[in-house]
Amino acid sequence: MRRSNGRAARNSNPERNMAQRASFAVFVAVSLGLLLVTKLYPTLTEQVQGVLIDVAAPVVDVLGEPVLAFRSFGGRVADTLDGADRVEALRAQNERLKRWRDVALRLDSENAQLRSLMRLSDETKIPAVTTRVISDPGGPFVRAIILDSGGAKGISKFQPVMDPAGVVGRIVTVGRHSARALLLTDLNSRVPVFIRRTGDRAILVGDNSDRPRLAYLPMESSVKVGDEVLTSGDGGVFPAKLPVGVVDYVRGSTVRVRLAADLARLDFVNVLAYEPVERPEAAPGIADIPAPPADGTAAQVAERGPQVRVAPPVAPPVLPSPSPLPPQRAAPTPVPDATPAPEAAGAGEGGT
Amino acid sequence: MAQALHRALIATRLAVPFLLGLVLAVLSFVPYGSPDLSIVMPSLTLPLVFYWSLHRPEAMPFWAAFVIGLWQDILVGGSLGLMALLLVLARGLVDNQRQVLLTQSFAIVWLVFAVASGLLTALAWVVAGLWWNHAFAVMPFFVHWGLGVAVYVPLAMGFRRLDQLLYEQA
Repeated sequence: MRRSNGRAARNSNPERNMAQRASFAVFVAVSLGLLLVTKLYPTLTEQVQGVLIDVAAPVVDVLGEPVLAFRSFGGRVADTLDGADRVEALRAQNERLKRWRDVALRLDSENAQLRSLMRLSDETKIPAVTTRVISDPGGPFVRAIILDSGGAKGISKFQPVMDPAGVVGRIVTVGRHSARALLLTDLNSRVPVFIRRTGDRAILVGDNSDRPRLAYLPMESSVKVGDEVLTSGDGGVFPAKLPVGVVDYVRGSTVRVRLAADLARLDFVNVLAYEPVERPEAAPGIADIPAPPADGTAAQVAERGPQVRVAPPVAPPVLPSPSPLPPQRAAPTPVPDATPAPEAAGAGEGGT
Repeated sequence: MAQALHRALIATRLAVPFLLGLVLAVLSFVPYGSPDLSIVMPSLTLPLVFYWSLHRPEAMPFWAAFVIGLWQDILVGGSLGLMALLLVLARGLVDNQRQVLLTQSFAIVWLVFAVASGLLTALAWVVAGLWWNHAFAVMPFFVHWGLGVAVYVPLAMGFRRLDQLLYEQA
């Protein structure tokens, strides 16, 4: 691939060289200026990004079509190759899920009755917009995805994004017909959570790794691998009790969470039409919570940080079994296999 | 008529690398179904800017490198200007060494690309760290750079073929 150097002569014109140098200097300065402006004026940047995302999303969507078609074809080939086994496995899974559905319906009705008796509002039924994911994060800096629905379908900033298994992230940029969601793994992600077993509050902090860490856990916390992590609802950005994941790693003060949501295969997600108790922009943002000090607790952070309204202290919530986490990921909760009597499962724990 | 066709050909020659850059920028973001690939996905635009700046600089002016980078920044959704800065610097770097590089073999040019992209990736790590106020893990950047060096070969071969189609058969 050796090239002739005939074209080098093109570069010999001094005026042309001057113009080139000037262009170089101008565009380097403009790039640095943009970096500075986007850093200093995040609100303005966000508004601009809201407009730009509507330009970018359709292009990503169209160019992604062949890749999605190829993935779909690959999936069909795999299904064909081990079709019989998969059909059998899916049939068994279907049977199990039918039993769980019966359990869930009965618990739902029981919950509604109890809530009505206790005059509690039903926070569990939040309408959602189901939308397609049209982009991967694409690069080592940001963990965010582009969705193909935006403000026109009622999506607004801060709304929680979920896949069928758990929380995926929250909306950070809203265009008319598209939106960007920041994943829980992004280094700017901060989500108030609690440990289901112990009731300990903490903040789930993304650091661009696959497994976000828990910060501000109480010093005396007895958290262990396998503990379920749910949103606490503190600060009002996320509703309470959404499944987040399972504690996967505990070494000293470092606790990491394996997310329930399958961030590897986000084809469709639900954006919950949940309005924050008070818009967090009125106060410092959740993302502005500083790096955790050694002696802080989640509750302290909730009180001094972005939380406009801290949820009143509640007893460690008891969620109905079956666990909201998918069976293969929710280690602590046994899944009824072939023989579980749904009646027995349903008769155990009651929902709150 | 012939003149109009000639003008169209010139316009195509100038536009194709730029438009290809916009398309390649998007290819880093389409959902491949693998988050690991997505995170270390090499920049396809850096080889593009490097190649066309070297061989057809008139088809990759500074503004084109800047717009391709800005488009990539828009897709990332973070700091506007980071990729734009890197691609403009890459364009300037090649400009500075073009006369030397054009006389070298492909292997040497590839080596220079590896060194240049390594420096630019390190710069990206520093600038991104300052912008996000966060010390990013080095490994994803390292893999990102390594894959970028690896994909330069097939990309450069493809660009070379396109170059021939656009220029040498007219």
